[in-house]
Amino acid sequence: MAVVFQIPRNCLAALLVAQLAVLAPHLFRLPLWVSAVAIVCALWRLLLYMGRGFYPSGVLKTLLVIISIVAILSEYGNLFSLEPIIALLITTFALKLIEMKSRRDVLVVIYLAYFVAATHFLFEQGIIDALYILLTAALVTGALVALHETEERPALSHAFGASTKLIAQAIPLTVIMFIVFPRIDPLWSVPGAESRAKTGPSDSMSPGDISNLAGSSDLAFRVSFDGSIPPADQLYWRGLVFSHFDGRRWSAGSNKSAEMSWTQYVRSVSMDTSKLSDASSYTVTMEASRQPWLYAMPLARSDTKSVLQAGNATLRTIYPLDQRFQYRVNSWQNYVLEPELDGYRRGIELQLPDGFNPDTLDFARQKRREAGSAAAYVQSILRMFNREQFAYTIRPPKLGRHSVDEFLFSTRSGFCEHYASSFVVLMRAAGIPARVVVGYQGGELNPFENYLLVHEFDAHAWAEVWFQGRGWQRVDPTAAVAPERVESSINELLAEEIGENSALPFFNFRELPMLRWARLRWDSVNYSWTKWVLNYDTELQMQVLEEWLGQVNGWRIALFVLLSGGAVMLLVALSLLRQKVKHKLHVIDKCYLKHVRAAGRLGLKRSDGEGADTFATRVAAEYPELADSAKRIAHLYNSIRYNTHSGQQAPTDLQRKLRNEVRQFVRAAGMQTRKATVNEADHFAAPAS
Amino acid sequence: MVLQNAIQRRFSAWLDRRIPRSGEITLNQRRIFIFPSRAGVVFLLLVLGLLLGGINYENNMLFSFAFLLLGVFLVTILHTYSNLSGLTIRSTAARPTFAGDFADFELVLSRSGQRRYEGIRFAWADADPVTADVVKGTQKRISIFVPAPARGVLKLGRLLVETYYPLGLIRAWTWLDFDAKCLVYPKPEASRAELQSISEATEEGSYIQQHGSDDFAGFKDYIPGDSLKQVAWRNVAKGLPLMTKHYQSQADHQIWIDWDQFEGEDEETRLSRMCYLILFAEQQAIEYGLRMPGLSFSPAMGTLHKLQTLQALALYGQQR
Repeated sequence: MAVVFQIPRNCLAALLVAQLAVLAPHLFRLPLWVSAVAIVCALWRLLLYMGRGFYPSGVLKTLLVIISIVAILSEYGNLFSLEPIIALLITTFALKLIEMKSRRDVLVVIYLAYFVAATHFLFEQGIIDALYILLTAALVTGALVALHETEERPALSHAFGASTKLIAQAIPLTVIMFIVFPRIDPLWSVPGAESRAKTGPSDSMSPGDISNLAGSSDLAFRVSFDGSIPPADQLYWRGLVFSHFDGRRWSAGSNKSAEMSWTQYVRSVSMDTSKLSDASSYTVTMEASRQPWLYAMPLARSDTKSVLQAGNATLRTIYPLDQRFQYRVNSWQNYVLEPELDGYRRGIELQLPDGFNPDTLDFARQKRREAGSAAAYVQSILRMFNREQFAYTIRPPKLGRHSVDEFLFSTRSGFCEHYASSFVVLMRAAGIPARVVVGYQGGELNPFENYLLVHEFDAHAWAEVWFQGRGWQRVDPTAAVAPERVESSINELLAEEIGENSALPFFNFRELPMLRWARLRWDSVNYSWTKWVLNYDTELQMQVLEEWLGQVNGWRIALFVLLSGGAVMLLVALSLLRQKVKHKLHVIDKCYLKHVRAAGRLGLKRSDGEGADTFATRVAAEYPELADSAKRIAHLYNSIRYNTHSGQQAPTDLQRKLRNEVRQFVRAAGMQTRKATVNEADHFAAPAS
Repeated sequence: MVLQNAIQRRFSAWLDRRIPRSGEITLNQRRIFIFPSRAGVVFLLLVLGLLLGGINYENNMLFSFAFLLLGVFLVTILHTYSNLSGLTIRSTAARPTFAGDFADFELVLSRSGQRRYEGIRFAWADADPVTADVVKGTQKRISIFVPAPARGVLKLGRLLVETYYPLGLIRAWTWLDFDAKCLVYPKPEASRAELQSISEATEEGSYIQQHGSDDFAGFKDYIPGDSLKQVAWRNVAKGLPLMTKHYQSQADHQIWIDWDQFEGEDEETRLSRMCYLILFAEQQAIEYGLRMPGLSFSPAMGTLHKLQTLQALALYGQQR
């Protein structure tokens, strides 16, 4: 007499809702056909749920699995990076949904749903994402509850209510575990997300690259300073240094510097670190750029793990950043970088391609002769940019083969990369070592948490010029054309030009103060989330635990876990077991009992089960003064409780009468008590008189 | 094997001390056992997988998700426990049944307060387990139909009460000893030979009536063991329940149902035959007496007589 298992209908309904919620954030990331498969499977299951449709046969199922694997392989070319794995996971999840029959199948689908929900965190980890996944966790858990419900026809909301309660009770435990669980190093390397678009400057720069970035309002990184924020004209966030020019593109070239530690670096450039002083310390939180370079003000040193020092005084990581990355930096303003340049290095920093920009080369040599000194030559070029008809624009005209010639002598309008590029070419043509530096400039202050927001549109290119004995000096030719660029944000500068078809909806110059307030407020919340939750690492953990426990050792942590976890479990247990016999008294009964207690003070105890009338008669016999009142109370009580309005809410006027009557009775009884004591006192006093 | 038996004995002795025999038991921490189910173990493996993901991707959100599920697991322990604790289970006496039939053991589940008890499974001996809940009202009665294969006293061992609610990750269970018993009468069996012997045993020798040969006295409810010949099939065809025709003159007769009548039959067959005869005589309103080795009931009729004689058959040759 084996009972055939039937998936509870509620469970199926809950599962469909949960599946939809779990898949929704993935649908935009996945190839269209995977989303289509997921939706078709959900609809198929819906048909089965409604009693139509058929279960797929074995052959069909095998066919579907093979087709999916082949399709994923042809889509991604392999199965071992993150996206194909997740596509496979989701396809399995969707297909499993239609063949699900036994209790075990349902469990597999539910567990897969948890897993798929969790994979969203490999792509996004914001507050909204966290809340959303919390919601899906409640939905999936709801399906699990519905699987175990046996009541005839429970409401679907009951399962979801129960699961929400479970999740809510689990959250404090989650927090405790999150705080104390040791963050250990990765055990093995895992496939990362590959196909995600890279953001920020790339490893080379051609005309138009930086101006493309200027159209993006995405966040590049946030910086919070330990001390005060330096003035805007010092906020040059160095990222990449380009020394090789091929006529059009700037790249690192053979100057591709080796990565090393700080000490190695200091030795390699023979820097005198003892002269460095007044470091400003700050923490940079980079968004996932999927590039390995990091940004910092010169001269930067970082001791954060997995940050490397590159040869040209930049910072980088070992691997491209797949997720937000936080690093600490010390920067000194009074540095001297490479005071001496040997012949080999000099050759690199003077390189120019043959057969490009002949007019520029002639112009440079002539100007250099006129200027006399190198420094005067630099000034004369900057003055030229400043005085002559050069324009700063985000939409410069296209340039041909001799890009610098065309820019300098005919178009004369460009974005920062045009100025930086032509400036360096002009320097090199005159025999002065120079190079292009790409990074970000400036930043928006968030007053709520006092940190800087650096956006993609803050991307900037400038130049570094080498002087004998003084080393590399920053020269920003854009500042000569448009000094406001450095002083204020590009948006304010280009607000007119960007105008209506702006890619920066929030960043319009005419942004409403309310909107700006909301945007900055929200960003500060996000930043705290990133700082305290997403970047909670061993270091921060030690800091927090030390602050709470005084001293971090195994015993204290164990005690902390036991006490806090135990307290949570105790509260949950109490809330579950508490609702024992809690016999709620009816309002009328409460009122009546008040009168009984008053009578009790006069020595009249009501026995259990004694009727109101009987009791009233006894009261009347003992205390004739209270007889009327007691009888009226008994009558009212009985008529409310038993006669006229059984089971229903008593009419309010009768209730009010009873309440008044009881109040009067209590007062009268109180007088009786006093009288009794006075009488007794008289009685005792009498013989003495 | 010896060791296993010894362990089993030890366990049941311990269980007897811990959850002693009783007619009504309220479940509490002394009586409830709790442990992760297989699904719970798989769930923990899932959590472990997520933790490994969190470690390898250095992803705090994956950590949080793993901890959230672990937290749900921990909290579920309390939920599952409270789904049994406080529930009062009372076992009521089971009505006697016939061998080969089912014994209906009734359990009364009651709760105090407003706590919900959902998805509680009761498994007793070979019976199909029953799943029940107490969500509305304060009481609920459930029946567990236990197969009664043999005559005698059907004694049930401990009743397994278990629940996986709400998530199936944790199993809370208990073994209750209600000292539940049910009297099992022999399976009634008729045969031509035996009917013959009845006719010999009665003085007039012809109490088995042909249809219409006596005054028709009315219908009686059909009970198992009645001759199909006496069933009022015409009524059945009209959709009425199974009934047997009853004739007046039969009441005048007396028979003895005698152990020795069934020469050559084995013990159980004799008892089955005798059981049938008792039911038959009662049905036909014939006074009957019962003679068995060491036991005898003088001819009589009525429910009490029937129960006494059937009980004698049921307990024949048994210790108690």
